[in-house]
Amino acid sequence: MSSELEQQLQRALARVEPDEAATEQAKAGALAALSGPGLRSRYRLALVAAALVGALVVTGVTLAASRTAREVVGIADGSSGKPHRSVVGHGPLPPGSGGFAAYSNGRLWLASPALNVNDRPYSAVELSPGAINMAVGSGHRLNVVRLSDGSIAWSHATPGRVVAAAWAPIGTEIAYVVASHGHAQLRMIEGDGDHDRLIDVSVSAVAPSWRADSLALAYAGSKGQVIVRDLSRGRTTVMQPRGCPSGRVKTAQVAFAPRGALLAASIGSDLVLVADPAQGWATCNSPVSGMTLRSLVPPPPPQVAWISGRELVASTLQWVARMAVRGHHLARVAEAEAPSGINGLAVSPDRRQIALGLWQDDGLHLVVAEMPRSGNTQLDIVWTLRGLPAPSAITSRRIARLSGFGCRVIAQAACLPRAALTWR
Amino acid sequence: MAMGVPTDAELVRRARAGSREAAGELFERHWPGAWRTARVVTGSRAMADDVAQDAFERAFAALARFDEQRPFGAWLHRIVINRSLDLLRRERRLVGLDSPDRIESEWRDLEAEDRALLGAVESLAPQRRVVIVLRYGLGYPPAEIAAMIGVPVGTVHSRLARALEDLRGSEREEADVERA
Repeated sequence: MSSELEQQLQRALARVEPDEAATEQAKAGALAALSGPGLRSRYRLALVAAALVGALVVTGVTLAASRTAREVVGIADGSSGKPHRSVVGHGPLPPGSGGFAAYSNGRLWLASPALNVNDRPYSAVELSPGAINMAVGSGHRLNVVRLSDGSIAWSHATPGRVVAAAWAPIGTEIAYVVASHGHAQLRMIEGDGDHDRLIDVSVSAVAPSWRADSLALAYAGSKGQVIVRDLSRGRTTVMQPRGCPSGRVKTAQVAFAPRGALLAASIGSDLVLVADPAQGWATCNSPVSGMTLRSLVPPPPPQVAWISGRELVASTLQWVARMAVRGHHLARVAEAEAPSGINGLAVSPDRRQIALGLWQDDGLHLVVAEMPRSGNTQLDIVWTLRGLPAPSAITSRRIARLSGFGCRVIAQAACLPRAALTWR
Repeated sequence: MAMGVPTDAELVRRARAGSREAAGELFERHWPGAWRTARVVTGSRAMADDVAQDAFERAFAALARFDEQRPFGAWLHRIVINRSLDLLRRERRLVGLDSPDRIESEWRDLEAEDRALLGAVESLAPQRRVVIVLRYGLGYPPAEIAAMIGVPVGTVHSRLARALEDLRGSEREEADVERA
């Protein structure tokens, strides 16, 4: 005869149910897997092909089948025919690094001298300066983890799901964004977990960025406008850029330069904003030449990473452009084409290389490439870090789930989960 | 001819012959239990989504090799449990990140009483969570659980007994806190 506790367990467990979205995605994935490895593989290829349709239409480049893409990587890194070294989560770091993190679609891959993380779910991740600590959003908590041993330095309950975080360059504060009931707010907390306070009650769910002196913060407002908050003066400035679309825009990224006061932002599907908030100017620039950005589907937004105080790299679709700030505009110094669509961009600590996420047939490959140079339009890949899971199985569910957020065509390029790479 | 509810074995046979309808019915029949198992063992809704889907994809991809004389549900649930435990082992290094608040928020869609009980289940050792969900979440008798997870039936009984004792202890602690 069952005890009261056993009956209570049966009742409670009977109420543990999956949600409809997860069920639908799982069913689609399971049925796609039904026909055995051959068809399953073709299904994966179909997904990836669909994902790259936008890129193909826009660039006019005939991206070869998945095998060719892999060969291009193999030739470029000088190890054709040999398996690529896989380091994130398994082994050594890229040379000169204190930590490398790839965060995509709610999953983290991390390599640091003492701690590796391989495919763990978090709602937000950010390495501290020098890769000493890591701020991780774990649902409604912001945790700081010591990378020396994986222990928690502190943990803080937040008034919403932590969706983005940014360490101040001096390491004493963390700005973070929480989302709750469809709204996001920007908050700030001391590096020891004290003095949590609200900065802006209505923002976009985009990671904020600190000015090099840690006295100002840039972030995306709720309508996509780029906002700079001067913390020393308590003054807020909304950037009014020239050459940008008027009205509501989608700001996917904001990034202060590592030196000085210049600011960059990814605007809409094809523009990079550059601004000097102190001088009061801001302009929008197209990062890549030779492309007609017309497509049946909107391409994914550009991604930017600063090289120095006046030079940055920006990626759009398969292209990476190295650009310098000249006057109030960005001038293209060099551009290079990657073997497949780019998702995620970071500059190495020594500023000589870049890390990119590249969509391949079996998922997102993290690669290290030489900084684009004038006269060389082919991206010179020197090292493949590793491949993250393929857009099938686990990832296909998430891609399809994203289709519920306005991306009607499953796996179209703009709907693929963005990868955030951090190289310290 | 009588039109009864097809058995799992019949659905498996038809699915192997290419019937997506049969495969879909097999999915509908077993998805809730597979997901429930994954959620209780992993303690995470997100991980349960991944593990249960992954288990189904593995099961369906391997359907051609499946012995249709065996129960499909038990086979699937075994895959779910193995995948869940693999995932937990892989992430054991950062297990300290799982705070009580996170556990609380994971179950926030349930009523308070169920939330407390399932929170206590989550604090059990993984192997005890496995027998709890198989016994009380899916209704397997101890002998079938033993066959499924590859341990003697006596081990299943002792794990169940210890798990229930732990849960009673949690209830007592909670009651003491409330009294205090």
